[in-house]
Amino acid sequence: MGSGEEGAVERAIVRRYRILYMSYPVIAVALSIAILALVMYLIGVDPIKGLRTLFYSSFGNAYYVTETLVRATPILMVSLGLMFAFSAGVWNIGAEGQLYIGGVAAAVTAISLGWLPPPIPLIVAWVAGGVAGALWAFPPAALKAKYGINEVFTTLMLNYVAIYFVSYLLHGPLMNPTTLFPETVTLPESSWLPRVVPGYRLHAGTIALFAVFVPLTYLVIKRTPVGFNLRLVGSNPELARSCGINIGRQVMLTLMLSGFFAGLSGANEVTGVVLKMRPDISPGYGYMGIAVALLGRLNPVGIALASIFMAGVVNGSYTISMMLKIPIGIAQFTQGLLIVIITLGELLIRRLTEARKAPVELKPGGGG
Amino acid sequence: MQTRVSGRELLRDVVVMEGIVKVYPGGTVALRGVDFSLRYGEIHCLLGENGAGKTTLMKILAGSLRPDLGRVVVKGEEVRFRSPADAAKLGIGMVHQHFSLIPSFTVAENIVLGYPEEGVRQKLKLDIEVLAEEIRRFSEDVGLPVNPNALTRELPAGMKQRVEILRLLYRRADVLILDEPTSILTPLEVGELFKALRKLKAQGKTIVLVTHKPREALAIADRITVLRRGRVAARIEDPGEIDESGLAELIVGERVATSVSKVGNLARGVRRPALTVKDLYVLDDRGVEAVKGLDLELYEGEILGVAGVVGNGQRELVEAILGLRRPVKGRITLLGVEVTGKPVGEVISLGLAYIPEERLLRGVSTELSVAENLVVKQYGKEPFCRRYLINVKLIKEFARGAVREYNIVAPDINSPVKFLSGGNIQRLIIARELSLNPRVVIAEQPTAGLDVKATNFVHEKLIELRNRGVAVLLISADLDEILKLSDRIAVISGGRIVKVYDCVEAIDLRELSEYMLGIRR
Ligand SMILES: Nc1ncnc2c1ncn2[C@@H]1O[C@H](COP(=O)(O)OP(=O)(O)O)[C@@H](O)[C@H]1O
Ligand SMILES: [Mg+2]
Repeated sequence: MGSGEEGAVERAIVRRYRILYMSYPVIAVALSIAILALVMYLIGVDPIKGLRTLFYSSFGNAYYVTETLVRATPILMVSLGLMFAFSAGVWNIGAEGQLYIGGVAAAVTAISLGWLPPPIPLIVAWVAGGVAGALWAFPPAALKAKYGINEVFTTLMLNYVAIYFVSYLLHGPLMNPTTLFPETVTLPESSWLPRVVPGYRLHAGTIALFAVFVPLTYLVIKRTPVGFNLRLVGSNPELARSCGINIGRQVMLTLMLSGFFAGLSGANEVTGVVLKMRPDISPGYGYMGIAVALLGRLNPVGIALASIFMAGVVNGSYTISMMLKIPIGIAQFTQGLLIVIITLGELLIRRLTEARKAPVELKPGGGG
Repeated sequence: MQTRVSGRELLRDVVVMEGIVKVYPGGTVALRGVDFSLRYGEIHCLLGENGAGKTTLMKILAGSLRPDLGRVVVKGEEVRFRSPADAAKLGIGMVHQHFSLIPSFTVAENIVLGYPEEGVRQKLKLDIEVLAEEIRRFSEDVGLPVNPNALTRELPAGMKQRVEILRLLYRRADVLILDEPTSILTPLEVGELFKALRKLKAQGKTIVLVTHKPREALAIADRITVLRRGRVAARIEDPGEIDESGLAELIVGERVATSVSKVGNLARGVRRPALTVKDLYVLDDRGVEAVKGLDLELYEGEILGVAGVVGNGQRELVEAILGLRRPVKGRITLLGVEVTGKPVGEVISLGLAYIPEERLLRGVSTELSVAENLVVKQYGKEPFCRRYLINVKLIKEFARGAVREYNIVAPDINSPVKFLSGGNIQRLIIARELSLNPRVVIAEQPTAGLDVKATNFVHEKLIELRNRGVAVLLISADLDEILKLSDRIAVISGGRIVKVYDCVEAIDLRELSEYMLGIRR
């Protein structure tokens, strides 16, 4: 076998591998739509009509589009943070809890600083939300960095602690004293994120996220030594170590950074959409963020697109179940199913495209 | 391609393999139509360089791989093995390149392990003493005595190999396949092994010895088959008619000459030490002292070969020098700076390059691209990084240059390194490490698993470095390599340098082996 022929075989393998790897997001989206159609069919809705309604109610007119972007905002924020952690091979499953802690911290800050002039309460509330999220990620980060304890378990279990802790606060010390609903009082106006178009809920957070955060994180992950360090640690920690990188520090950094982003996501919902802290502030943005980060291939641009897709499905399925009087549980069930399928699919495709597994036909004979 | 096996061959040959083709799932064609036969009671050498397909062919014979095409006839009957157990039933057994013994078991336990037939093992309870006695008697009967109660972990490599062979004999194997058994042995142990093989042959066993060293084939073989890139390059019925260089040529197919030669040693007096290790103690992963009181001096412009049986503290020594493992005691000085316990980054920036033994584990990141792998040690520094931003264009330019200069065969510089062959991965690592302009290089088993061409390339590069005044610490289990490249040789045994040869020419191999094995100190 001459070296030219060998090179050709290798190039063919690489080509196949790239096609397989790049085509999966498309397959995942198609698969998601097929599952939506199947669920509709099973509950007695015409899938074609159903899908059309779904698409219309997420992207059909300007109002729906802005609503989808508003929905995409917290998912994208969480997901950009997870991108850093996942790139370094750190599996933070705790964004949901970090988001709740960030949300409650932002709400408390905003309420107590409401008397200050405008953007100050807002800015301090965001910082508080981010820092609270990062601190919530500290115990798993430290345990992982110091003792190698698997972060998947610790972060996941802290989600429940966070959500119930927030629930306790909202039923106790933070309960709205006039309505006696388990939620905080409405935030003072000085801490609200400015709306962009009158009559629409589209707010400055969404704009900032897409226009500033996405390019910025892209630069950091793809073009700075910080991002390169993360990818090196994620792909081969042993090599990273012998290049002089401190693995423990990278783990601390990324886990807390992703907690920071999740906390910001909570602050964003509190100051931009709900305007108070509630026990149902997130319908699972922390988990959607996981699927979106993977579907977007740990690339900010891909993640932005994936978050819009995910938001469209969420909004569409809520609208549909209201319009067709289907129990809302079906919408939530379908969302959960999609998260699982996308996440598993991505992990599976990574495994399948690992070292030398792409199939290649054998040409009989061959050179000598 | 189908030649019928004649009646005469049936009587004479215990194994006939015809037209064997094997393609690995990744697309590598390992065997391209190989014919191979074994006669009853012969010692047959299967010779070929790394990657020639020797292991693949033997795994097919031993039932652990299935061929894509071709047929296998054993003792007159065509067979289709589905597992090594099928082959074992017909008396075929294989000792693999890497030991498959359980380190924490005794010799006797390892020998009977997984062989649940007859005798002592029919009872539910395993009687250890009866078992040990049986194994002792058995090993003496076949002429390969062992201590059945010894813990396998503590045996030298030669003994472990003997246990592996006994394992097969105990299962009544009469066709024994040994895959590169000599690669980890000292010359002394090789001699012992060959003696044992001759004894087995006298008892009527058929033996396949896989090796890539012509000298060994000539020393013991009745017949030789040479494999080259998945084909039979030659069948030698009478090894008396060929010599070492003739065989070497058959193995490679063409002459490959090393183009760089060593220029004379720098004068003793002006030598400056590049790396000094004083009274070093280092623990291994289990917390046991692996390096105990080691002293070593490496000078600029020399290749110091560290000869030793694997597992005598080499790994821990290297990790301590690099800063990957904190020594418990001692002093390491690199280029005049004390680096004991300093972080890796600091040590590297003094001018230390590292060619690691485990290429895929520590040498490259298989998921990152060729270009990225070429700069993993300097992307954060000028000129690749300015004002916090990485210059991707410059990195690609640099990578293209390196690929050209070092002849790295890759689909393109953006493809993940997992698509490169072992030889090309090693070229990449060397390109990267040398681009750092090191003053000291640690090369750990730098040619393990490489073919002749790639091996020559690595050797040339190491000699070039030395000629430029770089200090090279060469750690290798391949004694031929050490002897070929080194200016001086240090023998490591039991975590200590037990002997330093200042002149390589007059070395007595027997004495060297004895130092390596710890017989002499
Ligand atoms: N498990 C495997 N998967 C893919 N390719 C393999 C595998 N094992 C060996 N090869 C390839 O098959 C060829 C022959 O390998 P091998 O039989 O191990 O050669 P040898 O034992 O003569 O060194 C080499 O190119 C090697 O890279
Ligand atoms: Mg082999």
